[in-house]
Amino acid sequence: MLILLRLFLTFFRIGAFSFGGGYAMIPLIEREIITANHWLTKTEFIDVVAISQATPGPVAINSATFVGYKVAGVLGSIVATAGVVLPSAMIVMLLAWLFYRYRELPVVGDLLSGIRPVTVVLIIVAAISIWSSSVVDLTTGIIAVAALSVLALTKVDPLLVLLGGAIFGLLAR
Amino acid sequence: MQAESKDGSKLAVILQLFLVFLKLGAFTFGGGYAMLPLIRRELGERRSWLEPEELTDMLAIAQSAPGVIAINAATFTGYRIAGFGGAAAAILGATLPSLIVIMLVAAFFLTIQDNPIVNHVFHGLRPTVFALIGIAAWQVGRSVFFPKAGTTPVASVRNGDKSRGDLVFQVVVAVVGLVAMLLLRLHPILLIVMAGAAGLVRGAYRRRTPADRELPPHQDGAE
Repeated sequence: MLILLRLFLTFFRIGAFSFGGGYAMIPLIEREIITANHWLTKTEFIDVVAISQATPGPVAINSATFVGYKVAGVLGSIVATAGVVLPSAMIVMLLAWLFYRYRELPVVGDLLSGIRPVTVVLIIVAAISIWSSSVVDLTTGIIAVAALSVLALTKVDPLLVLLGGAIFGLLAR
Repeated sequence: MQAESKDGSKLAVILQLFLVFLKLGAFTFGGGYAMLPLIRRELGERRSWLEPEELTDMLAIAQSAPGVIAINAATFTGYRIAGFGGAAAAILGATLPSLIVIMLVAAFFLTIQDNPIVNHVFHGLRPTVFALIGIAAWQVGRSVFFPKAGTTPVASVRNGDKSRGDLVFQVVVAVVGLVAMLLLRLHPILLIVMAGAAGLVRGAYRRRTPADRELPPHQDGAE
């Protein structure tokens, strides 16, 4: 019972401060899920991110569902997912109501003018953190460079790039 | 657009919202932005539940709130069409497919985790994930620091393109934030709170000293 509460509160916190999309949330998820609660190891978390690319749903929700399930089964995944969704849902409804009443919300604009640059910072921090756990030998280094090049220079679907990485990983051993 | 006078018809709308977002949620893979054009098609073109202007509002608000943009868009749409019940139905519909799929995947994954073949596959997947995040950093960075004209999604920034003062402010905040995170191990929540505060302070300061404003005068009704 206590673990369910803890799941809910942890993911509620994550959901309330997740600006900038799924990847920007990674440092926060890492701090809460991996470092503080040890519910996942870092490599497990990277695996969840990979899986999330090939399944419906954004990575934030999927991480919550996955961690919740691992920690406390079906009930855990429901509780964790509800936790991560609730704060932003409430804020969106509040914003929608305010927006249509007052038509303009300079406070929101100001807040975001500061927050948006740090979402970039968070994604950079996420990349650095993931690098240290994913590029561990020559093979993974090559995969990383190759994947980056393909994604940067071509319009290949990210899912195909992931597939390529998986195949490379299989073949390289 | 939503003058339901009978409870029955409102319930029907809520049920339809649930089903529409169930379909959307089941077919949106990868990043959340993929759901937005689908929402526009399902709700704007096929059903005209939302005016085009409201779709733009949805984008602005969905990006202004924390959380996942797909869920925020669902929340906003459901709320606009049918209040709390609509929002709840939309969120439930959008979340259910991934909830079920990931539970199944988790159950399966946790049993095959120690398989050596699976290990090799994920060994190759992880650096690919790094590459995805690296590219995202570049793309988001470009859209934040050098947005294309007229694409700033912030709800109240209607004055046109960014000024240089804006860019300087952003860079300063970003650099300080990066240093704080890497060297001081600042908690991400603190970073966000402080960055928001910086934005508020700057906004208040700019409004008090109009002579400093580098933006053209605000033009109401030009939107």
